[in-house]
Amino acid sequence: MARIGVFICHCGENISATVDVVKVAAEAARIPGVAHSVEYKYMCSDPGQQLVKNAIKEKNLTGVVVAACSPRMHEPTFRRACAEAGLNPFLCEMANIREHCSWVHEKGEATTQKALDIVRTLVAKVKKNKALEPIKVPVTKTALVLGGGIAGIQAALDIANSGHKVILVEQAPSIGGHMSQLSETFPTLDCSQCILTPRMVEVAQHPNITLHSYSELESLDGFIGNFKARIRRKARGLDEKLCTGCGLCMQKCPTRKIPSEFDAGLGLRPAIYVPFPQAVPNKPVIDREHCTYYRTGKCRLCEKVCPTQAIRFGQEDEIVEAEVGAVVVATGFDIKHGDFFPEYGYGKHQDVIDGLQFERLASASGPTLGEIRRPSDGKVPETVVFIACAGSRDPAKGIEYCSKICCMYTAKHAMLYRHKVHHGKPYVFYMDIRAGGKMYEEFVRRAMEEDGVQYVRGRVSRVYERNGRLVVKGVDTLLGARPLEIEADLVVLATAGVANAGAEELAQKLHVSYDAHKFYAEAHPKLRPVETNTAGIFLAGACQAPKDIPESVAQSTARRRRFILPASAASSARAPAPTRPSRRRSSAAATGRWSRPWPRSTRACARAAAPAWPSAAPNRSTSRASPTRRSMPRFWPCWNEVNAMADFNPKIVAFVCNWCTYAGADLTGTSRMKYAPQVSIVRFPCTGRIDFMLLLKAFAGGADGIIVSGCHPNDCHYSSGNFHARRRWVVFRGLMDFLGIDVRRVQFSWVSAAEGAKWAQLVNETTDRIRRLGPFADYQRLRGQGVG
Amino acid sequence: MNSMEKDTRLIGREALAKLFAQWLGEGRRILAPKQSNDKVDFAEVETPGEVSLDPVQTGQSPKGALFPRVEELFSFPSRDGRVELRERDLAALKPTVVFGLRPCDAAALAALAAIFNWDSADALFSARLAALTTVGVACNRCDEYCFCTSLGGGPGATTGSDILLTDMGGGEYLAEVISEKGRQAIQGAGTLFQPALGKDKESRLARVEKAFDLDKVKPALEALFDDEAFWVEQSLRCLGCGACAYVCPTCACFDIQDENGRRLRCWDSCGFGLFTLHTSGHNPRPLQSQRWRQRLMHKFSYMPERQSVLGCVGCGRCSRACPVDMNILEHLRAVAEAKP
Amino acid sequence: MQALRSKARELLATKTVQVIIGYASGGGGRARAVFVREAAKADALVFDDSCQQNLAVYFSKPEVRKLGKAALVATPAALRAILQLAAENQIAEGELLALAVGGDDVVPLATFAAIEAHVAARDGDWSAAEKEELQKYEAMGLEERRRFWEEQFSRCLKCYACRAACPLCYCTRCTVECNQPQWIPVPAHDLGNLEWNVMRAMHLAGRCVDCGDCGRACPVNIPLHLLNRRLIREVFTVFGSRSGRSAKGDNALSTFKPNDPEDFIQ
Repeated sequence: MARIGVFICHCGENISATVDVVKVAAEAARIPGVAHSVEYKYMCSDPGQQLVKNAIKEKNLTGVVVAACSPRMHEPTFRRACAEAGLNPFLCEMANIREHCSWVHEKGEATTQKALDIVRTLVAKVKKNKALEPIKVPVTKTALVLGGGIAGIQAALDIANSGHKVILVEQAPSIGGHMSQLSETFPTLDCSQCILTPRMVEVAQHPNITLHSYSELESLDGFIGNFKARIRRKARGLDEKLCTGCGLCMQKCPTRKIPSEFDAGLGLRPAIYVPFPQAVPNKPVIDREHCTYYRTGKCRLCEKVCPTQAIRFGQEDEIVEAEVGAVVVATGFDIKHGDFFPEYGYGKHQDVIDGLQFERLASASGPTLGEIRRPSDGKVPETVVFIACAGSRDPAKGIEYCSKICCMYTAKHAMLYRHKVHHGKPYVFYMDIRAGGKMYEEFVRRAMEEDGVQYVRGRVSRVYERNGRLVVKGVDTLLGARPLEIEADLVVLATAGVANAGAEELAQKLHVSYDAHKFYAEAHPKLRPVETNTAGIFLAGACQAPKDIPESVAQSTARRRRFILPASAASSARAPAPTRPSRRRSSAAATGRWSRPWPRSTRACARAAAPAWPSAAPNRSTSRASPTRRSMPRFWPCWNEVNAMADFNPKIVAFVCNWCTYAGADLTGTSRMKYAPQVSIVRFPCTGRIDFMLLLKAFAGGADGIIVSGCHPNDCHYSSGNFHARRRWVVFRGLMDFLGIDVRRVQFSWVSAAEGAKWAQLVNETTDRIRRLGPFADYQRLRGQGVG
Repeated sequence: MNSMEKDTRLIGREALAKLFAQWLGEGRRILAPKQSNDKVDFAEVETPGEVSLDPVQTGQSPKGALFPRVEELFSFPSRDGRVELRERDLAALKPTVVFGLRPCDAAALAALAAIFNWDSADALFSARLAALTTVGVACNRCDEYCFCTSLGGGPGATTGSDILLTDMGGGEYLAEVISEKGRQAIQGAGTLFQPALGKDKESRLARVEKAFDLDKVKPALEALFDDEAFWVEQSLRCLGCGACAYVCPTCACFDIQDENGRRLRCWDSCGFGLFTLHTSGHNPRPLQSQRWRQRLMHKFSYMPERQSVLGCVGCGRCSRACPVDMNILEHLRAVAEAKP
Repeated sequence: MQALRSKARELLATKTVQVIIGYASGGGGRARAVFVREAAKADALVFDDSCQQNLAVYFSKPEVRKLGKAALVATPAALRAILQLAAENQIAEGELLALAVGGDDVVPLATFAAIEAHVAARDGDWSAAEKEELQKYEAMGLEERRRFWEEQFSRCLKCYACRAACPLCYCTRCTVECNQPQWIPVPAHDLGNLEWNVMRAMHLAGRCVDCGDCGRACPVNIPLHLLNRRLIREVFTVFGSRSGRSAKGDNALSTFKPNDPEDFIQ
């Protein structure tokens, strides 16, 4: 026998101002199965929670419904309270009568009745809930760090130093990333390689770190605590155990004029090469694209001169498999190369270079050994113009964000130039100066005041060549937009920081979300900046957004903490999915996927066992019976009365996903936007989980119209649920129309968590349309028809 | 019915129409073979013109008049926490005339009654039966699927019909009034009939050759029970749907489902894979061959043994409806001729 | 037909296969499925216009699988069914030999690749009659279609002959056979019938190979195949995908493209 406790919250006046909570509590007491029904001013407060706990004990409750704010607000609060009182936390539900009722409708009987209806719905649901226990899964205490730049190195060292094993995978032949290309770092003007290389060596020598350089992630399966990674170790062309790093092969290689990637195209390297002298590992790699042997079958000189016979021309890529517990993505960023602004002449004039190229000029181990020289003729430039914002903050050209680090490194570049060329004249064209970090403002001031860098507030319209020099045409807005022309010997563009070329592909392999610019998405921009929405996959460094070295290091360390804590446990307790797997289902079940009758593929099972809702993991191939099926409002008694009041009061059911539309509807409430009250919202983990039959069940249950809404494509919390749903909707609409069911009665929509206004508009428009279409009598008539 | 005199009359087609009108006027509904969608099945009619007796047999049997595809047994609506039990109002069941059923279908009523009133009287079924009057039509033609004569029936048999009509040609029907119910059905309609003088019913009946010896079938079935290969061979092409059971006039297995406060009884078939699935998960008939064997045993061995009535009347519908051309006549012949 | 019979004799005599699944003459001018295991009985095999049943359905039947490696007399639809079943991991390469019969010719197809090539060479659009049939229903207005299907489904018996006849309905426990909850009603009332038929059509969307056996099997003549055909057209028009052409790959509803159309989504 069900003994449900119902607790109606006033929420101060937030609910009670528009909803007659006393009446709701009294009416709720009469719902069959409700053994206890009270109202209180602040249910989430300590005394409020105590009311729940006492009632559980005194009345032997089998389930609890707290009618208050959104479950996204306080579900954990009340579930914890229930657990403390001895009631399984999953037997506790929240009825959202604030964001979805009191805040969005006018005070009155209809609103009170709607609140009561919402309570009824959740009472019906909680009666069918089953007690669930957290799933204990063993945790592999190894981390996989993708990317060996400063963020990846820092993450690897932190984790390794805590006693856990790390596998570090770096795409390039050496770790170090962009930081190894820099000359000096702001704001301290430390020598970049000096502070970086000790860490690189530490990584190489650390007993807990396994380094796979010149390697890439092939695939990742599994879930937090239990990932299976496949890593492709690309063929270097030599036996690393035999190679001593003596460098003879590089000296003798006859193909020497290949533009060096490390030197940003300003220097040259041979076909067998180590990217820079301090590379870790200090073992060369054969560039098969340029190597004479691979192109023509001739040469093999390196093989002849190698003292240890380490060269292996036939070597193939190797796949290494690893089991890891968590993944840190530290794949970094790139700067935009190319003629983003053709008027600046990058690529046309050799002496127009970008920031990384300047770093290589300034670098002691660079192509000019640290001397600032023009790429065209090798002369020392007398005048250098630095152009900031050469591509960022430009909505018209698609990069609307600020790349964050350029103001600082431009100041640094100007200072370095002056330090090296004492009589040199540096100019910086800027829009704003963004120097918000510790000691950052002081650094820029130093550039202006001590190092004589001339800062001009204004943009450059054109750079062109005249008599071997570059004419920079700009404007000085602080002097009333006075046009300015500077004859420079070298122009340095601070181009935008962008995501790496392979970022999208990697994100899809990992099932992490990314934004329109292919930067990886954090779980919450403020409160969870180092996690992704995929449990067990963390972010570090600039793959998330352009950032500087201190931030990347800080983030790596923070991320380390996030990993260590779960990894310290022998096993991990995962919140179970509130939906129960159905037995022996196969073929195109609710998710539209097929599989062998039994058992399903390992991957599907792994995902199915993943900490599904409400924490995060892709959940796509489960076919689970959802308790929400049973929570269909079976009766609409209040609406019958309301019907009598108006000519036709349409009944609309909305099936929405928890992460986007439900949150969006919460936002509508928080923003106090009003909308038509006829809609009843049912919460799902994902649109991918909405069975098409539910739409027909809703119609059979008395609905006149239906709204189905979820996350926008690419935003799905489970990566691809809404993509599957979208296909299913297309097909189902075709079928409905063919059967003579008016598809205008079903409104599909994408409403994000930020689109509170859109939700209100959607509901109002849909309610209007359904009102005009009239009651769905033809369908409801089918109930009971054909029974003798 | 010993006291009944043999009452045989003649009625013309136009008079039949008036009889229909009388029945409707008495508040009866009339179910008869009616054409729709390339099929002829029992449906409500108002005039003989709507009736189609062209096909040898209808697609579905008239058992739906006694044992509907879905029927409510009782309901239990709940209001304010109290559950109310509502029985069917048996008196409200409309009296029905099933017109145009063949002698095989009429004979099937006995099998249905034997099942539904076996160890306890099924009130709903019995009420429907009491309210039912059957006006059969003898068979002028048969096809390769008919085998009523092998089971003790015949194209002009009267068992189960309250009135049996035989088409004598020229728009005239011989009308044999078999039972008291039949007499009541034509009460006050005496003027619609003429005497049937010298009408030879036999000459109008179809010739249904006896296909096998029923006495051989029963013991043969028992002897073949454990012959797995025999049953597998017979049923290899069977796909386990419910078509045969549902079109059969004597099949009466049912399922009970509760929906929205109503207890519903609906057709079920022993051919379905999960028909005998236990709660424990064990299924004593996991293979189609075992289920096929069950079908024959139930009709030709268990029912005769326990209810003293055959579970088959030789109408041939199952074979006509079967998507894979299972032919019960062929299978029974094989049984009868099988070497032990 | 002679070519088919001698091929069958040869296959059985050389024990290349243990059973030939083909057609024999049945009652009422129909053909029926036959399982020939002895070379001497190969003369029972026929192939003509009455041979329509999609014999690939027997791959889900354990008693048939137990007979051993089979050669299947395959209509074009059966070949497509084999490929789709292969794509769904229900048949492995080498588990069967398809015998494609056309005119007097018998083409043995031993590998999925061979079947794919054979199907591709003969692939085509629907016939004019088939297109017309679908168009006839589309030309009816929404209301007329609604009334049409309401009448059709009122006659459904829930005998599941459609499901039993379909080679792609191979679930050992169908959705309708799961209770807790009983998602699709068991009784054959109007709503239950509609829900069952919608469920069947949707579960076959992107998988149905258009053999038409469902409509043929229905004992009350409901044109069920139209539902499937309508969805075949939808899936092809919108996603460009067709089932039964390849032994590999996901079907339309178990995959997606990031730029799938969504003009109806607000």
